[in-house]
Amino acid sequence: MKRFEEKWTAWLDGQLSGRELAEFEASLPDKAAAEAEKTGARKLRQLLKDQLGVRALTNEEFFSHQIHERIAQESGDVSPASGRHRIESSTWWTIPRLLSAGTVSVAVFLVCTVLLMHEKKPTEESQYLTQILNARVDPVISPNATVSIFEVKQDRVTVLWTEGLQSLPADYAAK
Amino acid sequence: MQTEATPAQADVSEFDLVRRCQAGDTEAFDELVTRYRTRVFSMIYNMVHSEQDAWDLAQDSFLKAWKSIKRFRGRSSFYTWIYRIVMNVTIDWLRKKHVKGAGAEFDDATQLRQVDPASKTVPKTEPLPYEMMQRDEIRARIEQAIAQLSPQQRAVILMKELEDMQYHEIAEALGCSIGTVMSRLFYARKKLQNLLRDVYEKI
Amino acid sequence: MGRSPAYVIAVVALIISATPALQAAQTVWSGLVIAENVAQPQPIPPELTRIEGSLKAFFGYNQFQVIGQSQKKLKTGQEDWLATSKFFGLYVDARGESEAGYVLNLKLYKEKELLLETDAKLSKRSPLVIKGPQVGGGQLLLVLIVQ
Repeated sequence: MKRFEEKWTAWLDGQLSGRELAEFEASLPDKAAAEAEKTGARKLRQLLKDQLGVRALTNEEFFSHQIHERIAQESGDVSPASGRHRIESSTWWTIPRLLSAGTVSVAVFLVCTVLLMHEKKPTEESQYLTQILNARVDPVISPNATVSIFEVKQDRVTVLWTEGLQSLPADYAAK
Repeated sequence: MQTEATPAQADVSEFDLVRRCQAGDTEAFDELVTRYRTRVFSMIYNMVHSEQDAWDLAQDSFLKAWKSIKRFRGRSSFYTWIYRIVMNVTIDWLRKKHVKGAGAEFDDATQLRQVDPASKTVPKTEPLPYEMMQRDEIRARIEQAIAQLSPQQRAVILMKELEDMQYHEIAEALGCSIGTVMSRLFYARKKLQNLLRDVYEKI
Repeated sequence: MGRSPAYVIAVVALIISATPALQAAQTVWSGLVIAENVAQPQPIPPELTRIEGSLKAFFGYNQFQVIGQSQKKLKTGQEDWLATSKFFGLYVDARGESEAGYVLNLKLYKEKELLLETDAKLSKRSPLVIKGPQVGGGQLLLVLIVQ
């Protein structure tokens, strides 16, 4: 048997019909007041729909990107099933195969070492510093911003220095 | 870009997306996130009234959905299923923050057949001339009123009045009976009507 | 064992021919860094030790904390997010590669807002540091290093 609150809610939402509706309306001590309350509830619903509605999600793509990244991080763990598979496949490595692989590895190592030694000639190292071709700041968001370029000889660092960007609260340092 | 689809076609494509998610397809999950991210965020924002917290909670909700996607059996719509996760995450968060409505939570033992439907449970606030209210003031009044509801009452009122969800969908999302949903709606509406009567009567 | 010498020669030939291609696609490390002055600074993150002296001397801060980072191989024509944090994202459009370095279009976003955009040639031996906005008592820096 439904409680009064359930019947009232159903009546308010137009979910009562037939005999149940007639019986409920007959039980109301003051039908006019109840109808006024029903009208008020409808106005409240409309007010909530108009004023709350859908809250826009700023930077929706970034939101999806963050979720994608978090899932990728979570998926980085090795499952027990694949671990078992790897253990089973290790038996493929017999002693002759291990010896062959070892010989190949040593040969590759020697060749690569020789190649790298030849390639690491001082004259072939990149002599270029990082270059800033251009830089733009949104004048609407940061109307007083300026941009400068510096080169720090120590460590050969190129710095794009901005001034006048809007300061942000410490919350924005969140990871 | 989503093309128009009949409800039947939309259901089928969503079913297909869920199947692909259950097989580990993250791109299929990206599509589901794209479909629901705004509604989820909006619902959570209306519960917690903080963009930053709503962002975090929406992220947590989708991540939990991904982790438990294999348990989704298709007995309800995906939408109802994810709302269950959203509500669990949000209400847990609100509980931890000790945010409580000024009114008592619905109590099964309370006998209330004698309640006059036209009665007012709290004193009427002093009305302000509607012409003086700006939209943001109205919104602030509404948010303050909703903040006085308990987390469960907030959830039912938002799901019913904003999302037009059916009683059984709300019951499934909150993990309670239909009767409990209807009773919570009764008290939530009563409270909000008393707090906002001067606002909506001027419309 | 008779097949081993042929095996070795084939592998070595493969390595020699593949070496140039392997060297072309290098990894770019990018980081969103909060630089600040504190009483007891944390050790500098390992990714930044290479330029620790420059960072401290040039910017005047004693602590650098990475709030978002990524390591990606950039290919010409590729657009992707690099380092991201809760509120910031660095977006890249890799437009080419030359002897001088990678030609990149970089965009720094704060949530939905585009704060800064730059076109740069990122040299393989010269890190790039971009000074961003003040964040609380610290400074946001963007760092890109070809590894």
